[in-house]
Amino acid sequence: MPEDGDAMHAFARAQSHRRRANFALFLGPALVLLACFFLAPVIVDLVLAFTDMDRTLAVTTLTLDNFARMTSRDTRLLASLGVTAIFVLCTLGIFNVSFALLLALTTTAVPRALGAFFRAVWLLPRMSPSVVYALLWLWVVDPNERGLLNQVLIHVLGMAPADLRNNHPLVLIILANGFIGASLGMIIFTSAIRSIPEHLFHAARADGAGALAIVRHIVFPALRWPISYMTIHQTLSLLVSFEYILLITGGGPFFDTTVFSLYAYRRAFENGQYAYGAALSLILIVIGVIAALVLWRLMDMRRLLQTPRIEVH
Amino acid sequence: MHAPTLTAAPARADGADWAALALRARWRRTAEQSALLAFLLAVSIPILLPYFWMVVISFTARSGGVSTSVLWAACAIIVPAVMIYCVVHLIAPSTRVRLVAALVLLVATIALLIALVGPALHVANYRFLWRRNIVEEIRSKATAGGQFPSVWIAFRNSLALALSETVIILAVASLAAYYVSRFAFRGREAFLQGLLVLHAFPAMTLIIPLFLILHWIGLLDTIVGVMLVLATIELPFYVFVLKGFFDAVPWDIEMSAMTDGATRRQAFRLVVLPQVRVGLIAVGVFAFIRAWEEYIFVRTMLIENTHWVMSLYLYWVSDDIMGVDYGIVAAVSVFYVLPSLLLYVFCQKYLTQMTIGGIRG
Amino acid sequence: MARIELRNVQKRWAGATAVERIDLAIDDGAFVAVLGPSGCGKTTTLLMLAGIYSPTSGDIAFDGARVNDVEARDRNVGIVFQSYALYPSMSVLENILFPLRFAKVGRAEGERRAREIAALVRIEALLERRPSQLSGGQQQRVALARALVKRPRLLLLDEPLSNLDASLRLTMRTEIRRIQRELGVTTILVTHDQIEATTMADRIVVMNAGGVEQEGTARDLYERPATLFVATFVGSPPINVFDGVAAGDTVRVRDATLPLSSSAAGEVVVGIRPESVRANGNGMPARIAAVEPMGREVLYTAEGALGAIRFVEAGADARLREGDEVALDYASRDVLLFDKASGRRLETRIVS
Repeated sequence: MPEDGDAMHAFARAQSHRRRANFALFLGPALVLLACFFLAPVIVDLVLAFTDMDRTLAVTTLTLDNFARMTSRDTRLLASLGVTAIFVLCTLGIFNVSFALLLALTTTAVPRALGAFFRAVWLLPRMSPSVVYALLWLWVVDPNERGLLNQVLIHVLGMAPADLRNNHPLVLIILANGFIGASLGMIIFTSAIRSIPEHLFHAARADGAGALAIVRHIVFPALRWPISYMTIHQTLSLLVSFEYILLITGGGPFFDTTVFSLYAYRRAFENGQYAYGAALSLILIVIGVIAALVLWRLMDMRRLLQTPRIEVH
Repeated sequence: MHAPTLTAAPARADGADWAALALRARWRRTAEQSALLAFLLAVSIPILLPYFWMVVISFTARSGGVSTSVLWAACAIIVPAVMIYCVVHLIAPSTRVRLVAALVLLVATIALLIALVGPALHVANYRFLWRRNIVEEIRSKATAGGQFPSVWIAFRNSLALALSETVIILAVASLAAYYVSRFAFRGREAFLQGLLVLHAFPAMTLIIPLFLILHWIGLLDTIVGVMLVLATIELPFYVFVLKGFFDAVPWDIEMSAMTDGATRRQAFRLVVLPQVRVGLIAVGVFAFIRAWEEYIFVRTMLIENTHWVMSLYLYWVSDDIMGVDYGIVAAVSVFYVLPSLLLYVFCQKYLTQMTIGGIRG
Repeated sequence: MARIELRNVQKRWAGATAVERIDLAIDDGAFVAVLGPSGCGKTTTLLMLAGIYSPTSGDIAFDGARVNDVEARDRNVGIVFQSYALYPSMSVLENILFPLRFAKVGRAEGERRAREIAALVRIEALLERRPSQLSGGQQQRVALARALVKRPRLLLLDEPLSNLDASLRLTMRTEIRRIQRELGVTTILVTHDQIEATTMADRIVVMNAGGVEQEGTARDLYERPATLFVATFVGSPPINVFDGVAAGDTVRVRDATLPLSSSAAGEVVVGIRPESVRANGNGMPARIAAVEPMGREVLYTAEGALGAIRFVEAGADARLREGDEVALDYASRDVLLFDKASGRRLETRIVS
């Protein structure tokens, strides 16, 4: 019956109309937001890097001058790269991965409630507002003898008071960022350790293994993937974040603790050299994209290679 | 087939000295646990002490520099109490003894604290809560931070920012997560992978272009602008978290709702959303806390000091009167930290539910 | 090898009691099965013997010496877990060699022993593989090899056959039995499968709800069950049970009254094993309600004066059909009576 055909058509059209409407309603807002504030900035930065935008926020020409400056004329940049290298390597190596591992191992070796308590303590820095955390550090390293650190140095260790902020600013930012960084790894590694089937530990104990042997033969093999993931993830995070450095030392004294990401920020917002800042950020963006793709691949491959567990149940 | 016989084990004299082994085991266990505990305590003190100090300062400092005498006095009371309790806990034969000991120690500690430390306590540092111009009073001149508002204005702004951002995130993320979880659309796989890449990408690198974009669309120096930026940056993570929750809701519920006459959207709103309540609460709380604590984007995007939020307020207060009156700065810090701390503690049950692909965030 | 004793052992966790009370003595070289439903505490008992868990109270003794505080690694106990617990990052050979690392055995000697054991359990060809590349039966044999390579004084097996298919189960049953006999190691097997228990072990300990119900040979458990639980757990198909009330010299089950050999009073449970029931024409009238051919025999369920009663007839073909009227006979001396409240078996019997 022709009426049926028309009805069918109308129905199909309504269906597809509804489908498009649903798409717009449900996914639309997210897509718009992501496009405007996630993807558009990347393009904007790309373009900006080739302009001469400065304090006036006006673009007059397209130029490669920013890159020329980066590669030949900017001595501060070189110093900043050095600072970045030391900062990232030290924080990563000492705190974000190693100490995180240590915390994960020790808090899982004590009774559960106790372990949870200590993990909560080590999460405190990450969970506090950055301003407060920075403030606490400033008080602790206060250069006269009121600072907590100096109190310990003077009364317990019998040493002279120290002025970390002015004399050893790198140590200060490594410590401050390290405390924050260790907590994420601690959580990830703890969860990985907890997901090791308990009977493997039982079997190892019955086989004669002591605590260290168990860590070496049972725990570490299970942590291989989380450790590699965390290393890449944290390297990226340390390369691009500068909030705590900005709050604690401001990048100083002068530029002594200005890591690369902070350098871009300062050039843009303190000196008004937006185009130069954008050019510097472009490097970080490229690194970020590459690292994100690597991380994504790692996560994906891990899912693909998900072999069924050994237990037969 | 004849199975190979095992070379016979030598007849054991079974001279295993069980008593010695038991003793060794007990020592080993005690030594291990003590060492672990000592290590954990040692590394936790550098973290706990400054926070405790901050609270102490806020209740004891007078104008002038910061002192630690009260802190050490308080520690001298609390630390032995805790240590005594630890010993009691280890050697106590029953839970009742432990409880009694804990109670006694608690009462003794409080009494000692009141006696030795009590006189130094005061709430004058919290007067910023009811007096507006504390900074001007202390400095007796206009300050670098500009005209300071009442802390309640900053509080209100922070609250507004955090709440509206939470609402936006919940709305946008749940809609998107539901769609991705339920509908098979062209580009779904690509969208998910794209989200994964965005999630791993560090958004901090985009702060300069974001500044300019906000400027060009006229939202620079507005709460709305900051809100939109913050929401977008975290969006991939929240979409994944909520997607996990939606995936866990079985199809049948919507199916039966739709056979009962509901449209897809109604089914979503009336039937599915209630099921992911836990996920929504988790995301909501987490987003709220993040927005409450946000500093760098707020500092960069709000330029005229016309919109104060708590993080900026604290920053400028400390910047202005740091060397002069630690007490007030500490009090403001305590006031600022309290909401997020409380939320963390009381919503822990929800926050631990958040996971993305098995990795808890 | 060792003589194992558990004296008044109890294991309590924060919320629940896993093991109420166990008293057990196992001779050197014996093969004992701990039989019981899941949750009865048998695995917990096993892990306490291994030293993984510590008893809340009571003593565990090896050769008379108290070993409660001795760590698992010092007890020289070999344990095969239900999930096999093979170390996934090591090869089969490395898995088997693992215990020898801590026994201070040289590399060469260790490898020799490992290969010897591997030959004993017939996995010589698999030594270079990873556990994920093995089948269930192969994994189990690796686990067995790993447990045996250190010449343990005690071998513990936690449901070793439950994850295997039927034919493999049969093979491994004989294998484990053979290995145990050859090595003479004291072995304790934990299972919920009565066939496993009765075919492999010399003695069986029946556990339920954290306590021991009865201990003895398979025959003891079958012919003289101490409690109703043992009677229903041991024996396949399960025993027929009927509620009844005893008054003096008789017991009334539904409409039937049966004479007793001695007087008893109170609520009782009457148990009749399917094997002792015959449909031979004289006896209690009943009507066939269900017919289930089981291959070797046929299982009938009939409705009679006492209630639903199961019985078996040998042979693959069913002689009777649903709805048939039959007369069921049973030997009175095979009928068991249990006190309903305590579950204990009463000495009194039915007289014919």
